[in-house]
Amino acid sequence: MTQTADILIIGAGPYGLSCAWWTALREPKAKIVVVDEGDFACGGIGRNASSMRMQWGLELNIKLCKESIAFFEEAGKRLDYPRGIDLRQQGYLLLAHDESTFAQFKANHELHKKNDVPSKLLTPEECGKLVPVLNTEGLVGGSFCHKDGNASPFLWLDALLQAARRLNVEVRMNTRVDRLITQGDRFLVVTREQQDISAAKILLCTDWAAPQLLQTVGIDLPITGMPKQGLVTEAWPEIVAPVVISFKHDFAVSQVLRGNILAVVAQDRPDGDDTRSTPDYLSFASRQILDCLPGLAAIKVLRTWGGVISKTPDMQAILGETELENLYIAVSAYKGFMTSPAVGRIMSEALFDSGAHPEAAPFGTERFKTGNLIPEPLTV
Amino acid sequence: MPLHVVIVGAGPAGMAAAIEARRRGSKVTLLDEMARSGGQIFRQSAIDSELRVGLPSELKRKADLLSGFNAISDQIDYRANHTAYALFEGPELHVSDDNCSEVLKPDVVIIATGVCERAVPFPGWTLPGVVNVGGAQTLLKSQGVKIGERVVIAGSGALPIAVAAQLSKAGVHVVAVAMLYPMRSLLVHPYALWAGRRVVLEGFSYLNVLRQHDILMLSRYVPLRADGSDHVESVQIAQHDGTGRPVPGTEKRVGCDILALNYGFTVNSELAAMAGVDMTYRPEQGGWIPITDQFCRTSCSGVLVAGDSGGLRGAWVAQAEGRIAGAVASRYYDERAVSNLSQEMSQSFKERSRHQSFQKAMQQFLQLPTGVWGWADEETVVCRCECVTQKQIQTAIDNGHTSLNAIKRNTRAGMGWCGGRMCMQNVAAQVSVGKPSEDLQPMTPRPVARPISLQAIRNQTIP
Ligand SMILES: Cc1cc2nc3c(=O)[nH]c(=O)nc-3n(C[C@H](O)[C@H](O)[C@H](O)COP(=O)(O)OP(=O)(O)OC[C@H]3O[C@@H](n4cnc5c(N)ncnc54)[C@H](O)[C@@H]3O)c2cc1C
Ligand SMILES: Cc1cc2nc3c(=O)[nH]c(=O)nc-3n(C[C@H](O)[C@H](O)[C@H](O)COP(=O)(O)OP(=O)(O)OC[C@H]3O[C@@H](n4cnc5c(N)ncnc54)[C@H](O)[C@@H]3O)c2cc1C
Repeated sequence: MTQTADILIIGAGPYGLSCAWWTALREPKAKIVVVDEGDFACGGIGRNASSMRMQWGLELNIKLCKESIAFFEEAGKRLDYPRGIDLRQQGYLLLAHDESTFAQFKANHELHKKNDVPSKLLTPEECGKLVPVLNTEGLVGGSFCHKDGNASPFLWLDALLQAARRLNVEVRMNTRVDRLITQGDRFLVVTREQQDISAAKILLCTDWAAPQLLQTVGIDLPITGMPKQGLVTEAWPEIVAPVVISFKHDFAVSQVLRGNILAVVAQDRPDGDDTRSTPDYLSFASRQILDCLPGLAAIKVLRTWGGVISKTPDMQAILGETELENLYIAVSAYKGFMTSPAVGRIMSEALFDSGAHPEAAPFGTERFKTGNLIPEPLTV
Repeated sequence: MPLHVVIVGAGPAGMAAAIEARRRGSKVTLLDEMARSGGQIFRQSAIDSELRVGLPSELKRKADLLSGFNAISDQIDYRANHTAYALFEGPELHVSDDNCSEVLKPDVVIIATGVCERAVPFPGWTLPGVVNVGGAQTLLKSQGVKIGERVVIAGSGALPIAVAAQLSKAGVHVVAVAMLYPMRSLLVHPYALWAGRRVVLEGFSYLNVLRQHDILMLSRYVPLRADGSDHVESVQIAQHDGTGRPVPGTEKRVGCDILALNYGFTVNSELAAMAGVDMTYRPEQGGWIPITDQFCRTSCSGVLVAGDSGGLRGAWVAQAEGRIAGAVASRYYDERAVSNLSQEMSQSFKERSRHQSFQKAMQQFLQLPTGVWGWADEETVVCRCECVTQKQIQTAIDNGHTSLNAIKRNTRAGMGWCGGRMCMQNVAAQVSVGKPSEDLQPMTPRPVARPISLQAIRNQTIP
């Protein structure tokens, strides 16, 4: 039997569920269905480093994250989730080990001032004061913003899921979409479980996996996936207060409210969707971490994991309507946890606006045709 | 060229495998995270203890195995205090001590990591003084320490009885033993989990010891709650209705300073799972069990599993199977030589299957009736590492999160120090109440199998 929906959102990660919640707020009468091929937090959201920052090098990202962090601060109230999402705003420390990275920090700092981002440039000594376990040798300087931090992606997703369901969004897990078919002015969405859905509008929130479904309607967008692994340690009394990013070591290290330290260390991997743990990851990651943060040596690793991040040519999100009318897309480009509150709002408006949404437009798919890419200088 | 065989676990299975593989000319590395060989049953004392824990027959088996092992121990690379924390295809095994780690790339890995104990949550089970039966036994065997003055034991299967007898003989006052199933059925069945004819005799002698010490033996009893301000002071027990549910009006309160529990086991199968070995779910044998053929081979090339880590079958099976695995490992890449082993070692194969058939009967005592999942109340902690309550898990299930991965992500159960070894079987039971549990998938296995420090990982030797 075919079910019908006004809006079908594919993917129940933070993008899909935030879009669903915002859309249900705006359009209480719309029948909104969210489907996901897996179970709770099975995508990138269940595998990320939990961190969020407004210290970006591009105004677009600063705006998305500023709005999102303000929402995270009130998430418990806004989503009626009294437990809260374990937000921990102890700041974010970006480290530069060479002059050109530090020059970039300085340029960003000007941009931050313009956008009311309370960031500061720090000397190596100041960085060492902030994070006593840090090795300051070879450090040129840092950039710090106390509003940045981390929160639990699991609690965030649970809060969104429950809030969306309270607004009568139907969320169906374990339902995989295999194919989209256009039928007049609607879509027929074919699922592996043979519970097809007829939808007026579709919003694709499947992150790096989006090309699989786009191809079924002949759309080609430059989205790829890349494996990325992380590790988590035992809980420890506060030892790295801010989230630490080192561009030299290509990592983010983040101590969460419960005391565990999460580390995502980048390793050269070919594009793909391999989420397995690789044999060399742990030793590589521990070398990188301890070179920069030698004071963490005695802390025990509990587990490693693997996920897939989405990549676009400029490492920026893709937001908006595709070339096919009523088929929308929101792909994160590796910052989908921290941007999800704002992206949900923007997409909920874009779904019903006629014409291009001003905030979504710069993130639109057009840029891949025109070549107006918007690269973010501060990506690890 | 002799093959390099690495064996994880120096219990009866691992030691027997080491002896056999060495005898057949292999280069053998044997590692165990404990300071001494012997494994769970033949654990050796760290001190020159006056206490001789166990029955004469068991002690004789122990002496035989240890002397066989001592005869070859200088011909192998035996590493105590070494933990295997990850296994990858290859096989590639990562091992560590406190400060360093090493990557081993042998021809064959034998996993002989045994089992750990399982308790069923009920109010008060996380109080200090509530322990695993095996914990009490280990303390006695390895340190000669008596765990308490007044001990109550509750559980199922044979281990609680064995440990009750061992504690009594060591002079501990065992106040009561509350067993899930009637003693009578334990007596008429070949009841020992390390079964076999000789084993039944061992079981009888344990019961004799208990009778001599005048210990209160209660069958069909279950724990209701453990109480105490900061340490267990008493336990309330009651008769159950045959399905594990307590019968109102039959409650008894028993004072104690230690409550020791055992309601079965969880196999230490995470290394096998990590390497991608095909597994099957068998709660009465210890949860997710690696699937093996008669030669202990798994679906993963170069990875063998022997002893209890391939499903709880007791020490006799472990020893026989260890011999088989050691021999198979030495001839692993010679299919003909391997198939000839069933002839050549027919004695070991027979011994294994004889003891295994007794195990089948025994396993019914480790099949927990559904009522036991009602012991916990809403506030009872199910996942101890992350303090996740029964109610939180039930809420997750009610919200539609029914896979173990989803429950883990939604509640944090299984995300802590033990990696889910202690709680996942209990969570699985809660999810599958009234449903077949065969197709329940385990949590995604990931390194590391045991917590290990960043510095030990960094200080790594790679061949
Ligand atoms: C190791 C790692 C660390 C990270 N660290 C951070 C960080 O610190 N901060 C941050 O902001 N971001 C981080 N990210 C990125 C972040 O996790 C993602 O950007 C975010 O999860 C994207 O959200 P999403 O909802 O778009 O996608 P997801 O969370 O991946 O959800 C997509 C969902 O779509 C479903 N799906 C896919 N295909 C189909 C189909 N055909 N049919 C039905 N359902 C389908 C999937 O099952 C999945 O549940 C990290 C990512 C990784 C891997
Ligand atoms: C608590 C308990 C008490 C028991 N008491 C009795 C009894 O009194 N009488 C009886 O007949 N049978 C008893 N049994 C059953 C008997 O011990 C087992 O059947 C038998 O020991 C199985 O032998 P094995 O070699 O397979 O495993 P084990 O003897 O359990 O040996 C496994 C070894 O592997 C090591 N190991 C595990 N994981 C790792 C790792 N990742 N890295 C390095 N080393 C590792 C452990 O330290 C252990 O030494 C008991 C079992 C348990 C769990």
